[in-house]
Amino acid sequence: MRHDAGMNHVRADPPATAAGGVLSRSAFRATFENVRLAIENAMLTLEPLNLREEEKSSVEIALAEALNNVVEHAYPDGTPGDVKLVLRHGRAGLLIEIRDNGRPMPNGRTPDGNHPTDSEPHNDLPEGGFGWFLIRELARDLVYDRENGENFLIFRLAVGRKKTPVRPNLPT
Amino acid sequence: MEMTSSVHKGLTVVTVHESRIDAAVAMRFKENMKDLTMGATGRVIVDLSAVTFVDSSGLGAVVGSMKQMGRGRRMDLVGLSASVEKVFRMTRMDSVFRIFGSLDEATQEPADAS
Repeated sequence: MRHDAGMNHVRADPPATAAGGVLSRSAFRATFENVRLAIENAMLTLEPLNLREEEKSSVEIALAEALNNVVEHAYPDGTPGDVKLVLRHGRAGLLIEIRDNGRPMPNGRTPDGNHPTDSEPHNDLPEGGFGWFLIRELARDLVYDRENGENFLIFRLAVGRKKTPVRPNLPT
Repeated sequence: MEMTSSVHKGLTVVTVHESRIDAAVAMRFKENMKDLTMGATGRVIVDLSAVTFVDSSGLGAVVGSMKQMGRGRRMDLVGLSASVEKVFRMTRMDSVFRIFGSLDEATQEPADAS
């Protein structure tokens, strides 16, 4: 099976700005397999930031949940469509921007997601729906908008925050 | 999605030989778990030592795997990486499963413990 259909990935030399210089832009066909590859690429892109393991796992979880959501809900039942992902890094942390041309979020807003409870009976345990809960727990400044048939989701992860703008030591 | 089962001190141990249980393989994980646990009885231990990442779909598949075994059968987990443990902790699924650091630790439990 081809997993890289339509996958393209551009890594930019990040300008050091407070708002967030672009680390990478990618666009790919919305499939779960491509989400995997996009996450793999994103984690490689973030390596020069020297994030702590705890920070890396937060990024990986939030990114996976947000991108899987596009595959599952914006383009349901295998409807073909593209996803665009932009990673920016600035003094406030990592900004993740995701765009797609699929279905809008229900009621024009991001869902709350399932909240964990302590005492679910065995057979009533939820098997899904924690995606948005995890994103909301891990991310800050979550913004959703829709314009001209395009979903726009952006959120910030307070990771890799430095007092001075970060300029990774990329090979010259 | 490579998974194998073996019998260890009279207990069924399912070993996951994949680094990710995510949306791409969640369905297959649950189907494989069904195949690997249906013939056996009693407690099942799932060894996740090779797994470095689980997303909410993967988590759902683990929960679903326990539910499809039916009441009265316990499913314990072994070898959670820091990232996997985090997802279980955040969703409070760490209170639903018994989680052990190693297979030895898990099998020291009495086989009939409930």
